[in-house]
Amino acid sequence: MLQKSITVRKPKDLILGIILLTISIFVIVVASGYDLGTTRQMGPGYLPIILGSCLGVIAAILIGGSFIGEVAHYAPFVIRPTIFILGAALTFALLIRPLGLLITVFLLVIPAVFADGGRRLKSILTLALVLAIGTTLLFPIALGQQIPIFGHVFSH
Amino acid sequence: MMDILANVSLGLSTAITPGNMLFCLIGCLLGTLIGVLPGLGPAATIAMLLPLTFGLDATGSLIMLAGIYYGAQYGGSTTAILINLPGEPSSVVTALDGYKMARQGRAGAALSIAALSSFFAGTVATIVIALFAPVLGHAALKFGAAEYFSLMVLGLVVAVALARGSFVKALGMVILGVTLGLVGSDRGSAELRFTFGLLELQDGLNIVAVAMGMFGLTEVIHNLQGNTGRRSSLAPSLRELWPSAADLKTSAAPAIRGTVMGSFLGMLPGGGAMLSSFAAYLVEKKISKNPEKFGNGAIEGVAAPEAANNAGAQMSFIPLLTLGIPSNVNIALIAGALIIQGIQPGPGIIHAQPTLFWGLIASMWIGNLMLVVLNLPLIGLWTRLLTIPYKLLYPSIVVFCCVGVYSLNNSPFDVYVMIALGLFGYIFRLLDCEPAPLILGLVLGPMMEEYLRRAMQLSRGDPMIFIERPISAALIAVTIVTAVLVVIPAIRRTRDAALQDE
Repeated sequence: MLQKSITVRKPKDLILGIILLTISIFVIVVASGYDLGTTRQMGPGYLPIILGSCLGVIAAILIGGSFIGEVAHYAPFVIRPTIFILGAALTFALLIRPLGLLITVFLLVIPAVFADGGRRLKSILTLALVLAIGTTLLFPIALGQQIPIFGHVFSH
Repeated sequence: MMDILANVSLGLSTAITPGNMLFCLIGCLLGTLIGVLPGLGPAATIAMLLPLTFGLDATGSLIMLAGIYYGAQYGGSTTAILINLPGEPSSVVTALDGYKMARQGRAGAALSIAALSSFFAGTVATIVIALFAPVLGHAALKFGAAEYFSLMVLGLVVAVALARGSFVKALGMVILGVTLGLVGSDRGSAELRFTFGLLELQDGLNIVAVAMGMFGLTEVIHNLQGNTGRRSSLAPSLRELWPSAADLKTSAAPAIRGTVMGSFLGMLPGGGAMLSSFAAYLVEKKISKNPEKFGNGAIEGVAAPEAANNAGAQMSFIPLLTLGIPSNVNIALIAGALIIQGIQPGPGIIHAQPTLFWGLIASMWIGNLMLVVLNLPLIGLWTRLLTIPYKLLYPSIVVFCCVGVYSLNNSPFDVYVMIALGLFGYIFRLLDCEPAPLILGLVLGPMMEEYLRRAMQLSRGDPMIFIERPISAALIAVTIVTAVLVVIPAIRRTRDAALQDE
């Protein structure tokens, strides 16, 4: 039994359309609080409103287009590397000031290696140690950058 | 003519001091080293190595950056040839025949021809820049707000046109990039926009942090989703390192043609190097007596696009040096470094800082020379780098991204920006969107707003100013033609698909 129904054929376009639409609405809502000005004297809100509207139009085209045409495949969002890689960078951002470069880099490597399934403890510790000492020697010592090797928790 | 000689000798005497040569050497080595690592293109390489140059004086840091830039580009071509993994879009066509040559055991010949034709093209482009940059710099003084705005629109449209995949998606990325560029204090009214009370956002999003997120972290996450196995144990055998006399003879004419094309097309903002390499490859295939060789390891298919993209890469400095407009992501990062050094790129730079300007031009050439002298003997080493397992490599990349971004302002906030853009970059990538148009939009956005506002003040709100002024009108015309050329096949395809459906 053939039945014509509305189905999503390009889920990628639909998702992108929804993301851009959300951003578009957000931009317009925030920018409506700014002075629009005139075309001759553009205020801070002038361009944001235009850009927000353009994003909205593109979002509409993408959402509309996702229901027609050939069915496209959808690549799944892979959670594990995303969480561990971004988590490793977050570890760095949170700990760099209190702990300093040496220890932070060492601690950053530990979540990072779990992004591809982890490995034996000894190899994790070796890699972490090599990278921690390596970056400490390179950035603050060899290049003279103002990154504290030890953070403020050690300064008391 | 004497003027030019004086200028060139000023440049050379600036660049050839033991210290500056050393910076150039280090830049080339590190650029190639990082650029060769799989999954790190020139943009990511430059972004990662940028902090290394902050401690140097302006000239030294520029010279090192030029070395990094050319090293990274060469590294990108190396991975294209050896493992069919182009570091950036402009070396995509190099992979077609270069990788085939590598499979046939001729990787050494392909790599050395790539290096030699790049060097040749770089030399010619340096001369062209030395001859014409002052002239163009002069012409640039005639550019008003309307011309600047139109040129930037053209740059963004070219970037969209050259992006892979859907036109609408790339357009969306560019507009999103320009929108992200709004964050921070508005130059017209000094009002804070989209900062949500965060002091760190006052100066806008840091371009390097955004680039590191979208090129560095996104790339790592993408590479880790599944098939990492294909990245290791792929080192091809190097049976012969040097090209034969016949190879050199076959490559000479294509390299010259590629150089000419790159020198013209490269000036176009928005993706000159990439356009040049594609055009050069197509021309060679068209005029070849045996076009069936192309795609099966034709050495002309390596020589021409490599010459073209190097000439193009070099010429892409022209819009930056004469107009202050960065025409691609790599140049934008270098412009960022210039600004950190307290130098505002633009029409004034030639007269205000001749030492720096001519020093930079000389260092471009020296960077190219270093690359040939150093890298040909080191090809074996670069090849061995490809055998480093990815599971050791990617934690190091994450560490470098974090430390590099943090060292920009010693602020964890930049790292948060990188994390956020890393996540968005990954999502966009899954949805078939490229990061380059977004970043170019982010770079050009604030400048575009400024020039648009000024143009509108001048014309009293009349948008006709963009077509009443001849240079601006010509730029707008080229923009429209570019857009139409890209959209028409897209319309046709959509229509075909819709028709097929019935």
